[in-house]
Amino acid sequence: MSFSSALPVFTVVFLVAYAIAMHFNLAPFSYYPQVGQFAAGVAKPTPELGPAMYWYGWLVDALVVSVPLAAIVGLAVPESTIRRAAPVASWIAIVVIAFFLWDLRTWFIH
Amino acid sequence: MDTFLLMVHGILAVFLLGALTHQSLGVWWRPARGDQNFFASFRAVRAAHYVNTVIILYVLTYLVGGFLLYPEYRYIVRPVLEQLRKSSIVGIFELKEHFMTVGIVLLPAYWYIWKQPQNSGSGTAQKLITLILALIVWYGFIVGHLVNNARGFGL
Repeated sequence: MSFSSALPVFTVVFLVAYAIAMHFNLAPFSYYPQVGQFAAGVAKPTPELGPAMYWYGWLVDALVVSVPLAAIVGLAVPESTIRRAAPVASWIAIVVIAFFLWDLRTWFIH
Repeated sequence: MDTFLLMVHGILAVFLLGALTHQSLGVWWRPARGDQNFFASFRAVRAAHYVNTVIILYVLTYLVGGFLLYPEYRYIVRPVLEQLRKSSIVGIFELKEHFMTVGIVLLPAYWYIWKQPQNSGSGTAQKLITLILALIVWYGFIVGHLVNNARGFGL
């Protein structure tokens, strides 16, 4: 049980939470880069404020889920188990990358 | 200022690309004993020594790209690309945003896996996570240049 044990868990949980937040657009806030303003929730683009960005919201979503979960699992699960399971992070990353390719296919397939 | 930041982002990306390419080839294609040509020398690196540098360079490149440059892309460049119906260009850049996020989130696991002792059987895991990071950074680097020079490339 150590701080470093939480790191692979953080990676796995963050990747899954981020993919879900992005797919369902669960942004807790939006950012209008043209005027440098934030708005609560998923805000629509407007002619005055310009386009809205949700990416930062998805990052915060994933952080809020992954940091406490990683801390709990990292402290509760024996280091030897985490060490054996750590390579799973790479495979989850491959699956999440494939998911993004599928989810964003509409940019390429009309 | 934007041009300066773009150059800083590009230079950091070149360093990161170099470090990850050296490290990946170093673990995937070790040079044979006595092999002393240029390509063998390129691969003959102590891969474990690259880990902290890769992490620092990745975080810096990501922060400059994602937090200082991307917002301006979002309201200056992307609307123009959308008006020109260059949806595939927008799409490959959207993928870059998400792939680079996958990469930065892989860094804690990357550090953890690389800090395991060499005789702990973590060699395959080290190879895989390093290769994924290298491919992500290569993708980001190429797409960044394609989007930045889309008109010049005739895309």
